[in-house]
Amino acid sequence: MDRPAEALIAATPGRPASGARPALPAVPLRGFPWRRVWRNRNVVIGLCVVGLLAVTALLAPWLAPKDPIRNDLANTLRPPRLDGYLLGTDNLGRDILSRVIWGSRISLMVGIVVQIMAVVIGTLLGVLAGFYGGRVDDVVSGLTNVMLALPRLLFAMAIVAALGPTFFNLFLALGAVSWPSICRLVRAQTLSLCGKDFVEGARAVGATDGRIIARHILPNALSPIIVMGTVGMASAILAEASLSFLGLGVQPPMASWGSMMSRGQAYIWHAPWLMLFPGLAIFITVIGVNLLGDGLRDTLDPQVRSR
Amino acid sequence: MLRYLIRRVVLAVPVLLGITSITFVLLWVIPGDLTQQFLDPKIGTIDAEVVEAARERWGLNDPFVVQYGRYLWNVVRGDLGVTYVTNERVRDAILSRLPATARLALAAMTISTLLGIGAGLFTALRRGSYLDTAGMVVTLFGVSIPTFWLGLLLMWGLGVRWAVLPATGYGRGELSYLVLPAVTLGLSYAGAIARLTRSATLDVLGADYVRTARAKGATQQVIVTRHVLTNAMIPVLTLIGVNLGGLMAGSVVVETIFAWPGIGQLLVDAIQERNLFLVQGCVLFFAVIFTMVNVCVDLAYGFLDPRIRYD
Repeated sequence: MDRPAEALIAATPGRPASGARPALPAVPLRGFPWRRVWRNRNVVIGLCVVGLLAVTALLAPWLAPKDPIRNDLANTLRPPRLDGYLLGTDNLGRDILSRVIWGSRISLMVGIVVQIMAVVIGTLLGVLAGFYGGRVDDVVSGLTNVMLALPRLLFAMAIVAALGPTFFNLFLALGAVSWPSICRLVRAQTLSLCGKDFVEGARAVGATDGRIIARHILPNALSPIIVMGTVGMASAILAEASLSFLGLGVQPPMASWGSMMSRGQAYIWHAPWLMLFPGLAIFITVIGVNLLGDGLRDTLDPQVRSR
Repeated sequence: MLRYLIRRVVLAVPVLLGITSITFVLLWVIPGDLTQQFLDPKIGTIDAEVVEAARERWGLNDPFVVQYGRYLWNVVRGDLGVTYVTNERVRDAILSRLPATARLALAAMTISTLLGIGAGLFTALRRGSYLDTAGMVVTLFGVSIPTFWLGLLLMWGLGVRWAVLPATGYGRGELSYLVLPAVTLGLSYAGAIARLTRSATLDVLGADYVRTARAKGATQQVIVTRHVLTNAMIPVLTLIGVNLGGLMAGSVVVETIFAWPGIGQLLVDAIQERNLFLVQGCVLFFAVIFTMVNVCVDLAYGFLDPRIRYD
């Protein structure tokens, strides 16, 4: 993309991101630049990958050729072959293709649920801190700073260690460590939007705080939240895989790409396909999500543009 | 300068206090009776008298605030408790593992910084070329690859298939054992650094002062070393500081894969044994180091950019 063109886009009125904007009541998504988003190559490739993942996850029971958790001790550690087990079998004779297909459910669910938790909590606290300032801001910002001072994955590990490695606690831990960065972003957005004329105008005609937040601040802060939420999805998926790899996430016999790889490590000498395919699945998924995030940032966020 | 330094360090105190309260609360949210965990994490005891005596001995009957105050005082004195599996002091257990982790982290940071900044500069200066596009694809792979998968692939390729390097372990501290873990950890952060360096460099190359320098006849070399590097390094330095947190978490994974006897492996073992004081101690240790490094990064801004005022 050319620089002058970028500047032109940034100056076009009706953009939902921060920046100069006429004091019209903002309506969520009406000014959303769908057309430009769709024309971005990264967004399209990313959406294809994520869409493929979603279809795989939804249709897992029909797509998987075998039962993903049934042991078949007559067929352990079979190498990948075109006739027979396409991706081989693991040490208990379970079909790796079926387990990779079922594992997509966990990765997708973690990515979506954790990011929804993070966006809801982070946006709520960020708006409150930025809008009301004072004591509220002190408490929220203090908490955010402390949370950001803890390495995310380590903190999640500690939470899982304390509460016990269950599926629910995994989501809780990942959600708990993911909201602070979104909170900080939303707070900064809210602070800058509060000084804008259209917020002042709304206040002058007697709009309530709730109305100003819902109609003027949130819609205008939406683009960076979407970008950050998408980028965060990639790290949530990677974090779940890491935790499961360390035995702190999804527990056996449930198929998760991370836990499959931790099993695969033990057989790396004789059966490297055990760790090869689940890792490839994570890799492709995360590339897809990152492409989507990059593309959305290019089209939606005039400030943090990656070139 | 001194005032800024003091102020920045003082500002870290509430953050450190917050971290200690989080690590303290971690033990409180454990489901079930904490005393049972302390007595014997595997079997516990049902003898009410023993439980009561233990509660009295460890001060678990005191009010929450008193217990927190005591914990804080102990932390300040460097007493992180005792690991109840081996009865070793938590502080000693961590310190004995520190050299291995420090070696790994330093080596990985060097690799990721050199490679990341180098690749970022290289691609930015050739913006739009095929090499630039290739570099972007490679760095996208770099930020997307799971650390443990990269580790296992390298281990399988170089440690098992062609067996040119030791696959796991620490040996007697030979450099050859360091290569695979350090490269794994370094590569997984080089991608992010390269991407940021590239975009920061492009920002600087478009700046007025670079155009002025060019107009005055400065050579490309002078522009890159004098203007681009110093100005583009500010966001990159922040990222390297922030990345250190990820590097530590990554070291947990990498140490586990390569059987590297560092604090990360200690933490994973501690979690699996439910050795809670040790978990608490390791997390606190990592968080304190992370906070201190970021204070140092803030201080380093001033050396890179004199425009940042220390007041």
